[in-house]
Amino acid sequence: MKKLFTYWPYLIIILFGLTPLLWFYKKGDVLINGIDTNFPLDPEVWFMRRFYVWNSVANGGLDFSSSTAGLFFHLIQVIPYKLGFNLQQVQMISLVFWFFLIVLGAFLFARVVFTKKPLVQLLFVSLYSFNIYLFNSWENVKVANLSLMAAIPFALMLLVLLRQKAITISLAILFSVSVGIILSGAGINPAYFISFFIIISFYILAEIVSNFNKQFIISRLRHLLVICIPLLLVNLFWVLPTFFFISHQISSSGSIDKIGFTNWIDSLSENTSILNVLRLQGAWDWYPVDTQTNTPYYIPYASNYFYKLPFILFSLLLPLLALLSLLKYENKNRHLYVAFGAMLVIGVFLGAGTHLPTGAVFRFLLDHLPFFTLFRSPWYIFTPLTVMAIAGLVSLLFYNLNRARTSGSKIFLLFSLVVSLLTVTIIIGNFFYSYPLISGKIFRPGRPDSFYVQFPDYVIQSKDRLINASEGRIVSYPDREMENFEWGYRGIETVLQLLVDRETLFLPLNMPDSPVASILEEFYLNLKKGEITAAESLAGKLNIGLVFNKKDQVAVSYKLDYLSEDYLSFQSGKWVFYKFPDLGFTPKIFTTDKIFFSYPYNSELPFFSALKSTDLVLNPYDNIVREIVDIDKVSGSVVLAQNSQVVNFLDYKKTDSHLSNRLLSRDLSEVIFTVEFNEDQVYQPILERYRLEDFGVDITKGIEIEINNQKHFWAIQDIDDSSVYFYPVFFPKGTYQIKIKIVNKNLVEYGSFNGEIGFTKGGEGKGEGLYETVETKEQSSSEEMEKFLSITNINKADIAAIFKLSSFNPMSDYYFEANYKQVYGNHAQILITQWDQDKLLKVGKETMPNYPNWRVFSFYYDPVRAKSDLFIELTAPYIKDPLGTTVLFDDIKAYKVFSNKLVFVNKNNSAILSTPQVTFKKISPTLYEAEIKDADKPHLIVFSENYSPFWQLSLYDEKGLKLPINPLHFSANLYANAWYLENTPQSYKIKISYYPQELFLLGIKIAAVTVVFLLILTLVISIRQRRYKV
Amino acid sequence: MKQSIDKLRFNLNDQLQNWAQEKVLGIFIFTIVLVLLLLLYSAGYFAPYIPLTINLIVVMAIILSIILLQLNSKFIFSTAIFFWVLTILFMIFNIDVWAERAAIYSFETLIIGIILLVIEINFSSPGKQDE
Repeated sequence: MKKLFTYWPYLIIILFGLTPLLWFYKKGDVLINGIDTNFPLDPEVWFMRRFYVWNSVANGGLDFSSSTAGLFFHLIQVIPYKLGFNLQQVQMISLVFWFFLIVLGAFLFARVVFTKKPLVQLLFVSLYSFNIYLFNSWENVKVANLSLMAAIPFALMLLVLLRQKAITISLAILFSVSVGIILSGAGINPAYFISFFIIISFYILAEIVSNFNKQFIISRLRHLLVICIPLLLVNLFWVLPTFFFISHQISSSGSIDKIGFTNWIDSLSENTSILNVLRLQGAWDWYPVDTQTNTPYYIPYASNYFYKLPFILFSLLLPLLALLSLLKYENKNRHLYVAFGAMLVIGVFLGAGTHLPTGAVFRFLLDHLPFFTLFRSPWYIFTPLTVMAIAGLVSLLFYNLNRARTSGSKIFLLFSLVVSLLTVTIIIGNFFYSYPLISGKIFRPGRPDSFYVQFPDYVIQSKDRLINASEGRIVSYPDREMENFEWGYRGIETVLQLLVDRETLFLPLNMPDSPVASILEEFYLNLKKGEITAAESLAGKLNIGLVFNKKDQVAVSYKLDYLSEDYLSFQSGKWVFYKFPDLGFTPKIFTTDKIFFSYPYNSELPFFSALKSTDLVLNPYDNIVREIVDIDKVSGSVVLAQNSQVVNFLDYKKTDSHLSNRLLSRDLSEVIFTVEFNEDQVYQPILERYRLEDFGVDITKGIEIEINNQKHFWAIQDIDDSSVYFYPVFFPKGTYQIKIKIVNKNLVEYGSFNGEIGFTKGGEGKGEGLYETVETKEQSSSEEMEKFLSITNINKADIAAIFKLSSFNPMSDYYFEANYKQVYGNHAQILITQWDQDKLLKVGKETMPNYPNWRVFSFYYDPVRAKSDLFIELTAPYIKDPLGTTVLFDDIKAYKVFSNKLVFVNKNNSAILSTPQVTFKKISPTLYEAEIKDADKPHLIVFSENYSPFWQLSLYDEKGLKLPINPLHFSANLYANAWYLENTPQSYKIKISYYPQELFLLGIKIAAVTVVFLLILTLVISIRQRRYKV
Repeated sequence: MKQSIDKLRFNLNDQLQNWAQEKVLGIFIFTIVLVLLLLLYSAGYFAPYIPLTINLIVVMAIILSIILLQLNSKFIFSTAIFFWVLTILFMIFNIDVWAERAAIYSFETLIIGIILLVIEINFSSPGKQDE
């Protein structure tokens, strides 16, 4: 009992640390997984990935330097996994470990700062470890946030102990190594790692300004170094390659945008007002609200914090207490007041991001401070400062009040009791306030977007089959940017990454404009259109070997109808894997003699489907490529003609919505392809085949065209499922306009209102209005009477005349045109609605300007690429005016945009290079070894992994001696690496390696040596001290 | 009880009178500058080159109060608390826009208070520091 009385705070700390167990209570056999959480279904695979600074698993690979920082985090998962615990137990152990670490760190720090006041210590632990900021960190098990939050109090504790001389320097160094290991996870986002140094630097700075004398300053700076240097040394394994990557690959200004990542700082800062940041309520996902029900979209419990008075009051109480603590500061602890006060100010300022008024300064820093844009999620990165500050200041207030008990009089005893009661009340209140964190509500149980996921057996069972399935990358389908399975898992990357170490392809949410994403998008389009030959060609460029059809994904995408059972590789439950291309995949390392300069060469317009899978596409403006002697003689060219209808459509889409591009009529009965040839050459025109028949193009005969207004006929040489190949044509150097007349049918039946009625009455007002087809001469060019539609709406809701588009094809874009006249009332509107049976997929709404004469109005519409129906709703909107709305419509037209591509391929100069035999082996994600045979002439080696200047190719003779050849290295196929080799032996070996891996290895050696050295040093010192004492 | 209240009132009155007499010039300049700033603000002066906002006037008033009226950090923190209490009241009555504004003033006052605290700690007497 006596022990219980002494150690009760420890018991409470242990209970605090076990909080994650509550998250699984009565939840069944689930894992917390999805979106950013990424709990691996094979922890060993994930752990092993952390030993390489290149991750080849996703989308052609990417630099993984900073992610190696997750080594320790994943070690905590892999140990219990290897010990035989099941996945749920592994996750529990991992979560408890990190929760306990945060709680323990806070407690140990509190013990050295708020000495002999266990209640105040618990108050600090409660405020630091259970707060709104951590909701998001735990919800997504964000390694960087958790590591930072765990490491901060440990580091501050060491600094306090050093100041108090309660710890020796050698022991402090040893402990700082441990803190470094805990902190290492923060390196996954180096901004968090920097945030750590900002925090401890502020602490030291506060001490210095509170006690400004030379000796003290030197002593404290020495202490700072004692903590920082070992901490840095153990983190060198990721620091070296990461900073190498940042310094070489990232621009100091506009860093995030320039590396292709979405810079979402402004949208993240939308709700980070000072009021919200001070209350720790700055997470963006709290604020999107369903306007009809006024409930939050993503965070169900957020409405409690928005609207319920007790929650609002508690959120404001903590900053109030923090401010109150500053009113009466204890001189002995004045450095703590300055430190926490400064942390509060800096934390709030930085956490608010670009939100005004402080956002103006933050934006200035973004624009002028090198690399500052890397802090693209400021609230998440800097709020640990605010958390520490508020917890510290509130605890200081109660610490001060507790110490005010100086005599044993009744009043003081009563005062003491009241203060203790208040402390307990705030601790308990904080638990109620943080109830989602304790109860597991942060994981949204019972909702469709819940993080509790029960993985079906077939997912786990597919693992072994995937390991043994055919080689090549696995491309996921449907192609939505986010995965959303009917059994609950949602992810921004492919779920396969959690399971196996296979290379995968999917549309990346983070880098939507990357070259691989562009080629992949084209590949998906080919698959949906049934252009299998084109898809196979692109599959070769992307090293695709399997198509992963997720039949359990909730998506509106097309079903993969064109991949028949012949392609089937294997099936596991609702997961179907197709071998694609069926004749085998193009290896990741290969050689080719067919090279083509591409005009244009940019990732917005990948059009390589007209080429063979191993044909190599090069950038004609690449200076390194131009260093190859006689490159023009060994290369062909592929030229994409500009399609006038596509250009008009894209212009319309890209320009801001305004009337000038709507108040006109466009002619879609012809398409003009503009093409420029740089030299006199013979080119083969290749026209995309997709649904040419819909436009009246007879592909059995050939087509009549006009080239610069002169009539020509292109005869057909060959046809496949993707392209129509015409006989080659000689074009002298110059620019050409090639006009093709097409039959573009109006897809709206009876849209002129002269014949039958082709519409149904509808709209919100259920068509309760006056619909009349009126005869007039006003619209007619001849003597004959014309009819138009008049809609009068005196109802209290919008009414419409609805046309269903005949033969709607969602893979095409559409152009709509109508004549209209507004008689009185509200503005006329046209709604384009796309429905998948009773599910609305998309609405396009156009409001016409108020105009009393007949006027043409036109616009484009790009549908959701899913099987569906399209409706045109000519709307007479509701108006309060008792006369209602009367609008007139006539000549409703809908045309498909002719978007087929026309490509010119010149193959004349190809086939001069040699194509030696290549056999290769992937040793690791950063090292490939290959043997090259029969290399009798200059040749190319292509490596289908994302281009990086740090990929190095070294040559060795057959005895293994390095050859002094430095091949030219350049990008190819928009994303891949290629080397041009000449003067090589006929047979030789190569190694393709990623240079930053050497830095990782160097860093890990230094880290290991540091740990071993410090252990020995501490051991020696402690032995000496014991001897000395003896 | 009434006597105590009267005593307290007189004491407060005396203290305020003494303080006002000591700082009469500061109070005069402070008031003049503040009135001038408000007049310039209402007339839209300096726009659009310098945004003379109420926010800026509040910050200037706090800084001027330190310089001219020699207010200490405790007073500045009290002002920050005052603004924060206003925030709480506005939140209770669902006047969110005003609550946000009061929170901004509170934060700005806190910044100035922390800077002043650092100055006070460094310029206070060594004896006090060693307490």
